[in-house]
Amino acid sequence: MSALFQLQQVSKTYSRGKQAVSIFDNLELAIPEGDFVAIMGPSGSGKSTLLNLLGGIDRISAGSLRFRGEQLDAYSESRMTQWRARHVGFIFQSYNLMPMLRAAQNVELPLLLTKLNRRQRAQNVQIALDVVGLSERARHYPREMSGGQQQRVAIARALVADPDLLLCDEPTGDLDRESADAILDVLRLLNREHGKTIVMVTHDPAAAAYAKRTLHLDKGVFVQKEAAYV
Amino acid sequence: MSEFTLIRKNLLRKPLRFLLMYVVIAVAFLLFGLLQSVQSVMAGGSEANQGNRLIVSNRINFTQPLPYAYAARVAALPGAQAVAHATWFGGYYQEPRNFLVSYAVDPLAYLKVYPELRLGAAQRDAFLHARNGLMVGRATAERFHWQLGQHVSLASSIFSNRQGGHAWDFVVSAIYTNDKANGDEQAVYFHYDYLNTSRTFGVDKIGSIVVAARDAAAGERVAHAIDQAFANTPDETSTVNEQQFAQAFLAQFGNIGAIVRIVVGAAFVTMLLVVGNTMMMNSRARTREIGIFKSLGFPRASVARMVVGESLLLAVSAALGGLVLAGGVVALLRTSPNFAGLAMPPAVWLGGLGAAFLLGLLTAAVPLRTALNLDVATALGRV
Repeated sequence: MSALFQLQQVSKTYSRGKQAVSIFDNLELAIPEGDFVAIMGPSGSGKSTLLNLLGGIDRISAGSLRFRGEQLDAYSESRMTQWRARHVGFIFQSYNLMPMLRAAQNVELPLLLTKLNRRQRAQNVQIALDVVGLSERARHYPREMSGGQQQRVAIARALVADPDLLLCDEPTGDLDRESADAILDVLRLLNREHGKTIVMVTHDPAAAAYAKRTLHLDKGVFVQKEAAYV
Repeated sequence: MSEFTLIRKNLLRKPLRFLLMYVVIAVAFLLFGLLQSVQSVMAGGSEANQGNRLIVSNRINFTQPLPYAYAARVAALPGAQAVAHATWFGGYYQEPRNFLVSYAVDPLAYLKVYPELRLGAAQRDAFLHARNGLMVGRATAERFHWQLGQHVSLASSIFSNRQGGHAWDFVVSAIYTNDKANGDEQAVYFHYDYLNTSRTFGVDKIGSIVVAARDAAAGERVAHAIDQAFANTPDETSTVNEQQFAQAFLAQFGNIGAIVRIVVGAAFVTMLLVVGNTMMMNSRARTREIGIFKSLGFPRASVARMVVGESLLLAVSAALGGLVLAGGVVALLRTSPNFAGLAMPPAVWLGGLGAAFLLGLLTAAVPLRTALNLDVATALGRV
């Protein structure tokens, strides 16, 4: 498998007041196309920051971050936004659906940035909702759905524009075991059947077990690497 | 779904908040529409006056009378094509609240100076030959349901008559219309002689003299000549054109334009503060959502359109609501003869919508800056 992401000697520091806080220092990571990697670690270990960097919503302080060989950290803000719209789907712990929009409208949001016409957008939305098994809830508002259903809508939104990469931040963190398993089944399906590369941050070993491999991050350093294919 | 749907859904997500802001703006623009309509009618009325007509009044104040003989002396001056005089009667019908714009005039001369007052030949003759004849504007005739030949009694808030009362009996001899758009159709006119021979004071005094000059340029020369002719007399004159006189007349009630500007300005600033503050709070509450839009790949331009679009949609739709309401109130008022000339011209609509657009842009300024500068990771609470 060729590398979708290649991180070399990546450093990330934040300034908190007058103090500079280092999150990573010379981090190395390669994520191949079609990978499903779980990133685990204690709070403050840098998991979310790593996800931010991969998703282009935060910038590295030093080093190199390549996406399919292209120097991602050299992108301008507007090019990064375009790149994100085309290649990345985000799935958040708290779903982050727009409360005033119906499920289908939430899923349609990324397609507003494409040149698809209304009919084509509706078809894609239908397909995405079918994939997550929620087509019968298309006209429901988020408040009318359970947490698991909302997260499935969020997954449909993340994949509707057919991105290469899904970045999941604790996608099952707010769900009961049954709902969590259903979500993780969908993610595994997307990885295996649709070839989506998935990077998932989680505290839950059971969730991590769905991934092809798990990386453990502690204080900005990978402390253990596994190739635990399920 | 389109960006407009997003904007609309965002705006309507808190219906009560939307309703309150809508009402605040709509009421302010209702006020704007009504005040601007009144002002434009006043300005339009004075602009409709002919530039070559001059009003000669007492230099001390136009409420002070002039000697009757002045009319003939003015008529003798070169450049004065036609001369008439008018005396304010301060009349009302039955009770003071039925106030009437009423003048005692020399009928023949007056109709010559004011050719826009249109009445049939028979009515004209009747008015000229009846000593107590009353020429009534169409609006006033409709207001009081007066018919030709009807006897009416008008009281004066100024003059008393030799019978010891304030009431004068008249016969409605003519009902006139006005050829000019928004021209007056409310005033009533009667014979000066009738007033002069029966009043107990002010005999042989007149209120003002109206002079028709050949044109506006000639008018300036004639005005100067008139004031020169009466310089250093007990009753010096002040001669201005009709438009200046009308403006001076309105000024006695205060500067209408300034009042409108102050009221509208105060309403606008209040609105700006209320709506701007609400939009800012709204924007802060939606920081996370803006972060989500950005994380989905919505470019700055899209985010800007959503933020500005929401403010503009609110301001313009509410302003339009207020202006439509003002238009309705104006239309309703027009059914009353007292407000027959009231209208809401296109300039008021355009001015209102322009102000609404400005309001939308101003109230969007701070939320826009916040949204554009928003760091996605910070907005999503991921730092």
